Amino acid sequence: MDDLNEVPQELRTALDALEARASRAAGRVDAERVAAGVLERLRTEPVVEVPARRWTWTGLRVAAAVVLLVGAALVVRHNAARPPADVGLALPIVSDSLNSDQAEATLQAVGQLRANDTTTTTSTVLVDDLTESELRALLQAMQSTTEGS
Amino acid sequence: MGVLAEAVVADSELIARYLAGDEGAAAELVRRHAEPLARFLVVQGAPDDELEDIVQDALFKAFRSVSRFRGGASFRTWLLTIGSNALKDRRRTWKRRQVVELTPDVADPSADPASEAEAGWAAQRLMEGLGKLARLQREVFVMRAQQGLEYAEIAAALEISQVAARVHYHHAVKRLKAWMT
Repeated sequence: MDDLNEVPQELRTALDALEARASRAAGRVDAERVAAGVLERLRTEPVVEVPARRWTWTGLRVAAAVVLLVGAALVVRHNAARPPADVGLALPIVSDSLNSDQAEATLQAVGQLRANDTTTTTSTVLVDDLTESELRALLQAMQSTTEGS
Repeated sequence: MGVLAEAVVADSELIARYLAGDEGAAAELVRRHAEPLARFLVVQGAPDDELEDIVQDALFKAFRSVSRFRGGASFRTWLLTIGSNALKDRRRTWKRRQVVELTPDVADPSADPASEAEAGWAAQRLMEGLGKLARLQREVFVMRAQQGLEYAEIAAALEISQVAARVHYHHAVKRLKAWMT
């Protein structure tokens, strides 16, 4: 494969000029000083454990989806005159942010929450509003989706 | 001949030695890769006055996570992606400082002033154009056009398909050509 022929001439000239500039600048980088600095930092700076970002993001996405769905479901239940199409407004958000397993687990969790819900009458439900058993069901759903993904 | 050929130790061997506690192996890897990494960063817009810091930062991060290096791409290519991330982190702190102006002291004093000025303009123009590309387009273009990497290597390092790498390169060239004319 001929790399030079892949770059059009009008770009090649400019790239060569930029490369010449880059070479001059890179030539001023002292590799020994960099090595000493890197080794010093490796010796002295503590190792920071990276949090399980994927779990966190998955959990946040599931939690956000649950809040959206629960809120939407309760609004619909308390407003019978409202056309069912309104429920669908939340679904594209869920389908965009969750894979099929996560969406299924979320819907199961919502089903369980709704089955347990006999007294809630507010139209807005936040995580803080959930009972211990509801929170446990939510966490269980989040864990199962994380382990499965 | 009287000259003993010096055995070149592979990067993978140096990485293994470093992981076993040999700091000298890490220093050797830095000597090998600091300069190409610096050239890569300059083309992507790293300013001269912070270049060594960014190189050091990228190498430090690379060694901190080298146990997770899987070898899908070469150590060099993997390091370039870490360098790109280090540069991106710096950019967040620069706010509006998107493109680095060429300063008089970076010009080659031995060159003809007129041609040097023209080359300087072209280099600056290209750097501006690169700064306007989407990140993946820029990285694929620089890895391919400057570093001469194969698409398979680029794709492995950036965790994209080879087809996607080719598409990004094609779009980068198209946009840069339009920008330069």
